[in-house]
This record gives sequence, C-alpha cells and structure tokens, in this order.
Amino acid sequence: MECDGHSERSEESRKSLASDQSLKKEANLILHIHPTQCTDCRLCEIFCSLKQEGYVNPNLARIRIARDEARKLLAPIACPPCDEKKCIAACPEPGALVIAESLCTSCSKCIAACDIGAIRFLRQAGRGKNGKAVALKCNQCDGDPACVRVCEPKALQYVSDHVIATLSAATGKRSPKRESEIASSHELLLAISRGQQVFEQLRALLAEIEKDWTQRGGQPRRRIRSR
Amino acid sequence: MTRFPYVGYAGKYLRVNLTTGKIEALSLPIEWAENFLGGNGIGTKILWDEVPPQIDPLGPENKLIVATGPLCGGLMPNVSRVEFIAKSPLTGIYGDANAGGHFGPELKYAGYDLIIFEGRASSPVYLFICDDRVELRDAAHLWGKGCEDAEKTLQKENRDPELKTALIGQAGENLVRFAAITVSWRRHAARSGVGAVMGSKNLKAIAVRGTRGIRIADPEGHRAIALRLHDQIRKNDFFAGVHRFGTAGLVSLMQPMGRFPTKNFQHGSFDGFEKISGEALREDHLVRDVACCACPVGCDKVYSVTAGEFAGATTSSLEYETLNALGAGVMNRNLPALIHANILCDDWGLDTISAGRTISFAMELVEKGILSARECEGLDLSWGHYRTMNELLRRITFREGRLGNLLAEGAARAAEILGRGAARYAMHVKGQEIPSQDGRAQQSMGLAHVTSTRGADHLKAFPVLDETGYPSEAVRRYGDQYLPELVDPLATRYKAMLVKDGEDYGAVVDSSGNCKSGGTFVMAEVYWDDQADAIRTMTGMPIDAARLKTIGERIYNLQRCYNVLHGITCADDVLPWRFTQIPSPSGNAKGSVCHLDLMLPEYYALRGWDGTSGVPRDETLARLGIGDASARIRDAIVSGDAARIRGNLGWAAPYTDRAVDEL
Repeated sequence: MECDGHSERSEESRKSLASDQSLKKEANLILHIHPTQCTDCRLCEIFCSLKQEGYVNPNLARIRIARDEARKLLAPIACPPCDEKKCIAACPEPGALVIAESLCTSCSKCIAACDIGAIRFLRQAGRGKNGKAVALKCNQCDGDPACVRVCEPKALQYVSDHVIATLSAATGKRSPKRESEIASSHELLLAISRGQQVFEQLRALLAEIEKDWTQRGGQPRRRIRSR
Repeated sequence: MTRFPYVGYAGKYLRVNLTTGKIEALSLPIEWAENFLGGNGIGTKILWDEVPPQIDPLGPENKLIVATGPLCGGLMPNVSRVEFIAKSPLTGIYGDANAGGHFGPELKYAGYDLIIFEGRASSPVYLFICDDRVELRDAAHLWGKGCEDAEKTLQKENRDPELKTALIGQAGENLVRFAAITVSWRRHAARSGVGAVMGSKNLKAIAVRGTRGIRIADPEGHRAIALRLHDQIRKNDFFAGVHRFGTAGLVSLMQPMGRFPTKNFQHGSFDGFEKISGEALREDHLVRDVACCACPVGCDKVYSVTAGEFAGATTSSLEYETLNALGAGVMNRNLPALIHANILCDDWGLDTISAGRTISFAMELVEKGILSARECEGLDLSWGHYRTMNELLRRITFREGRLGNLLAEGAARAAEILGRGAARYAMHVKGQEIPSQDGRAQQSMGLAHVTSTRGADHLKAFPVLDETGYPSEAVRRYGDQYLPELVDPLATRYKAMLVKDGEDYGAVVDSSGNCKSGGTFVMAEVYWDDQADAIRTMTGMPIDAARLKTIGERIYNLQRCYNVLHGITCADDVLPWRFTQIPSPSGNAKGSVCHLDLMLPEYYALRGWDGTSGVPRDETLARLGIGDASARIRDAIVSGDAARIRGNLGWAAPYTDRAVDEL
C-alpha cells in the first residue's frame, strides 16, 4: 500500500520537523493547488521567474504546468510542501526546507527524490556551492507567492496547512480529523496535512500525464537545459 | 550594425533562405522597432521593402514573415500573439494572420523577435530552433501528415513534449488558397491563406524551444502596470462571460440582432441557432477551460463528443466564426458534426471561415441551378447536409475531383473560373470570404469588411462598441458626445471614426503581441495610454499614446499603399449586392441595408485618402513619415503596372449590380 510504503520515512522527517520550531512555522502556509481549475495560461510561471530571477523565463520558474497533448489534463507542479519531504531526507546538507543556493552542491539528489518533480536543476556558472549549478525549488516567495497573486482561475491558493486526517497505525487507513481533535503526540506523528493531500493528488495526476509524455518522447521530471 | 538598444525585444531576428539553406541571425534594426513597433508593423515594412507586387504569392519570391511584438511573452494580459505576414495567395494583396497559444512567447524566449523565410526549399524541410541552435532539417517524413500527428512526431523525435510548433497540414501542402498555420497548442493563424505560402516554400514546420527568457527595462514599473491591468480585467464582469462561453457565446447574442449570417448571407438569423450555441456547447461537450499564454480571460475550451456518430472527437478552440461558417452558413444544426468538421479543419489546416463560406457558396450555386448535379460529383449539396460538408472539406484539402479542386481556390476565384453568374453568390471583399457579421445588422462591421487591408475581415477594425451596444465603454473612450448613435448598430453616424480608430489601435495591438479578445477591444481595459505605458516600461523605448497612434496609422497606411501597388482602389472597397440592396429579413435588422455610401466618404476623409480613388494623399503619407511611399504608388498607377497587376489577381470585385433574386 502506498501509505505504508512511505510511512516510516515520513515519520522520521516529521519528527525532525516538529523539533525545529522555525521550520514548523514556515510550513504553516501551503500552496493549495487545484489542478481542475488550471487553464494553462502560464502566468504563474512567468511571474514566478520574474520574482525569483529578475526576468521572465518560465524555464527557471519554481512552478511549472504539466499537460497532456490535448490539454485535458493539466497539473501546476510546485512544492506544496508535502509531509514526506523525501528531498530533505536526500539532501546531504542539513536543514534545507528552502534551498540555500550557497549551500547547494548540485548533487541533484533532491530532484531525483521528489515524486512530482517540483525541484528543477539549473546549470549556470556562479551559482551553487561549487559555482556551477543549483537546484531550484519554491520558497513561497517569503510569504507572498507571486504565482498565487496572478492565478485568475484560482487554481493556486495560499492557505494554512491544516491537518486533515490521521493515519491509523494498525490498519493503515485514514480517518478525517481536525487539528484540534488530535489528542496525543503519537497521533500528531501520524497526521496527514493538506499539503500532503495536494502532493498525492499531483503525484497521481502526473502519472497520467507522463503516460502521454512518454508517447511524445518526454522523460519524466525533465531537467533544465544549461546555458 | 548598431547593437539593438531596447530590452523587452529579443533584439535579434532570423533570415532563412530556403533555396540556399543559408540561415542568418541578425540584429533587429532600430528603425523597425521605433517606426513599426513589431509583429504586424515590422512585417508590413518588410513586405513593402522586399516583396514586389508583381510576383506570384505561391512563388519563391514571396516571403513569409513570422513576427512577435515587444510585449509578447511578457507580463501583460494575453500577450501571446504571433503574426504571419505574406503576400496572400487568396487575395493576391497584403495578407496576414495571427494566432495565440504558446508559440510566439517560446520564439522570444529562444531569442528571436521574428523570422523571415525566403525562397523555396527543393524538398520538404522544417526549421528547428533551440536558442542558438538553428537548423533546417529534412521533413520528408512529416509531409502528408496532419497537424496533430506532425506535431507529435516532432516532439517525439526531439525528445521534448514541450517543443512548440507552427506547422501546416495537408491543405497547406496542397496549396489550398485558404490554408491555415497551426501553432501550439492547437491555435490557428488561418486567414489570408498563409498556410499555402508555407506549403509553397516546402516548409512543413517551425519547431521552437527557448530557454533564454526576456528582460524587462523597468521590471517593477512594468509589473505594477501589468498587475493593475490583470486586476481590472478580473473585476470586469464582461470577461466572466467571455471565459464561460468563449466567442461561442456570441451566437445567442447575434441571433436576435439579425447579425448571424445564415444560408450564405440570405438570412441574418438561424432557426437552429440554439443547437449550435455556446450554451449548448458548454452544456453538452465541455471538458475544461484553457487559455493562451499569459491570458487571465481564458476563452479557449476543450470540447469532446461522447456519444453518437462522432463519439470520441476532441477539439479545442471552437469559435463563433466556425459555429457560424460551418453551422448556420450551410444550415447545419448538428453540433457533433460541427465539432468533427472543426477537427478536420484544424488537423488538415483549413481556415474554417473561408472553408465554410466556400461550401455555402457551392450550396447556393446548386440551389440557383448554376452548378449541375453532374458537377457535384456524387454529392448532395442541399442545404444542411453535414456529411456533404465534411466530405467537401476533405476534397478541398486534397484538391480531389474537379469540384474539390475548384473550391480550394476560394469562393471569389472559383466564381471567376466558373463564370455563368456564379460571382453573384461569392460573398467576398477583395477575394477573401466575408466572416460572420452582417453590415446590414451592424453598419460599422459592413464598413470594416470593406476597409480591411487583408480583404473581408472583422478583426482589423473590430468595431464592437455598437455590436450589442456598450454605452459605458463608448463614454470611457470618447465621452458622451457621440451617443446614442455610436452604440446603435443600425446608425451610420460616427462609424467611420469608430472603424478608423479601431484599425489604428488594432495595428498597434497586432504589432505589440497582445490579443483583441482579451481586454484591448470590446472592453478596452488596455487602451492607448496603458498600451504606451506597458511598451515603454517593457522596452525602455520612449513612447506615449500620441506616438503610438502615429505608428498605428503609419502601419495601416503602408498596408493600404501596398494594396494600391496591386491596383486596389475605391472600386474594390465594395460589399456584395446582398448587403447594400436587399433589406435584411431578420431580427432587429429587418428592413435595413448597409449604407456604405454614407460611411465610406467620411472614412476616406478621416484617413486623408483621396475620395475618388481611395489612394492615400501625399500629405498624409508625409505626415506619417512614409512620404517616400508616395512616389512609388504614383509610379505604379501612372505606368499602368498597378492596373495590370490588379487584372491578374484572379478575382473580380464582388457583384454589386441589380438585385437578382427575391428573399
């Protein structure tokens, strides 16, 4: 079962998250992505790249829209963030929820770790710890995401990250629950957040879209071409 | 050459000689940007300078210019348009078409404002662009493929599903005179037969991937302007309707006005309109709403058919024009068949407007007994026969049989070839079929069809204030001094002004890279001042509304001058008899005819064109800084070259004589 497969590692990452108050605070707001609302206008990519890089280049945006050929399926992909945080587990530099470019060694392990490809790779001299390349990920624009500001169909929203369910350790099944209803610290460890729910929805949708991609020569989780 | 000083532009363009295979990446001339802005304007300038009027539009001497504007790919609302400019194979005169989607921005992200294609490749090729890498590649394996298949093949062989393409289907290959160019994702630059120009050059496709992006002169200033305009568009309720139904929503609005051309313009309303309306489309066939690049409105849709004869069909961008031309125009009320026809046109690369109009022309020829049963080659061309329509689309695309081959020439040329009075039923202006408006029901549209530089067209002037009447918008642009006539569709007063202003602003919009449906026209949230502010902050070019107005007028006048070289005069600024002599039988327009005789003299006067010839006056051209055009058009007229070229265009001015039938 999908949940079981991830539960151990995500428990670990949740533990480390809970122990660091500042990181927990940053995780309070998430990008709530509603793929069915997306119209593929790419304004999120355009305004993201301007905010992050100072010029318009959707290839460097921290959000990207995945689409099938007929545009029946659209998925804006960005780090919500999720609960699993495989990227953090994969990162050899400690403490990276937001990628610190000066610390990034361009090992690209986080990119391979993320199931939805929310992290991109930029080869560019002068960036990253070794001065050659850097991984790019959504940092929520320090609390005022440019993409949310311009998303007219409201496919992107910036909302607080409620716990929406807990996972039963015994059965592996979810039960809906509010944060206030959580009684014990044990339950908190098994909590599933809205960010995680968004993430799982994107992962499932992306799997569908990637079927179409492969037919058109695509490789899942494309890396950014160097310049 | 001086380095191009303005940002916002890519600052470079490509000159691709298909005969020799030589590709040059050149610095964009400053004068082009400062005097003609970009897109449509620069394309016009290149056509004027480099493509002589006497050449065959389907010969190697013609050029195809693929151009973006300074705002394209940036932050402003709906800045996705790419322009295709060439001497038109349909009309023989100035031709252009533009499309939204994602191709234009990608071309700029790759680092090029425009591409000029010259000559003719000896075998099919496509142009591949990825930033600095620009290559002409063999396209033999793509030739004969439809647009969808060809695009997929290109993406697959380049291992990039994000590759953006502009390509032609079989119609362009077979030089159908109203062939379209399809751009990613499934948007179409369809008018003027630009697809046939591409086909004549053996150029199957342009495939682009760009990773360089675009710099902005004043990022903070430009961002603030763009966000303000995005917000204004969001707040305006009008756009909620545009988003909901797309242009298809117009069907139900035009019907009661009597402005919904039916049965080859015999009527102005259609008893089956509800079956092919935007409401029916949304109710029965909508999959999802989609948008072109940077567009907050999102008028594009994905539609599918789930049951019946056409089950499984999926299409996007089924527009008002198509619903009319392949619906009411031919009396077809079967919406799934119409969706299927749209897919055929999209995949084979046909302009749905001209295709639909040419088929309704043929149907009327049969009705009037001009085309015999034998000449129909086994088809039943009675009104409303949707299987005939779809089969005719196929025969036109592949130029199959005598009828298919004839209709592939477009209605005006087909009428000229046929003779026998067929010209009476070819509803065209300057060789291009009339789109889905009726000058009897909206006077300004009648004038717009006539004064459009690319032949019958609603989008050059796009005079929408008097469509269903938008008084508040009229007041916003002009104050209340021209009310109520300005917003009354049946009034002729002030319409010359409305058309002229629309053409000038339209030329600027088409040269900047934004779209006429999303905030520049019907509800002009983006108007002269905003457009000037946006271009200035984007590029750093010192520009204000006054200078922009001059640029718009300059572009439009130069297009007219180019047509004058082809012998176009007042004699071609006419509508077919049906619009000026037969009172409309329908809706609010009942009893009305189009009063060109009242509006045209006023239009010429406002334009500074000679009232008896329709030729721009010397002082007008001098005022616009294109005084040297005067000598060239005078020489062409005096030497008789212009008249000679006009005689060889292949179509006659629409029939305007005595009314020939009763309605």
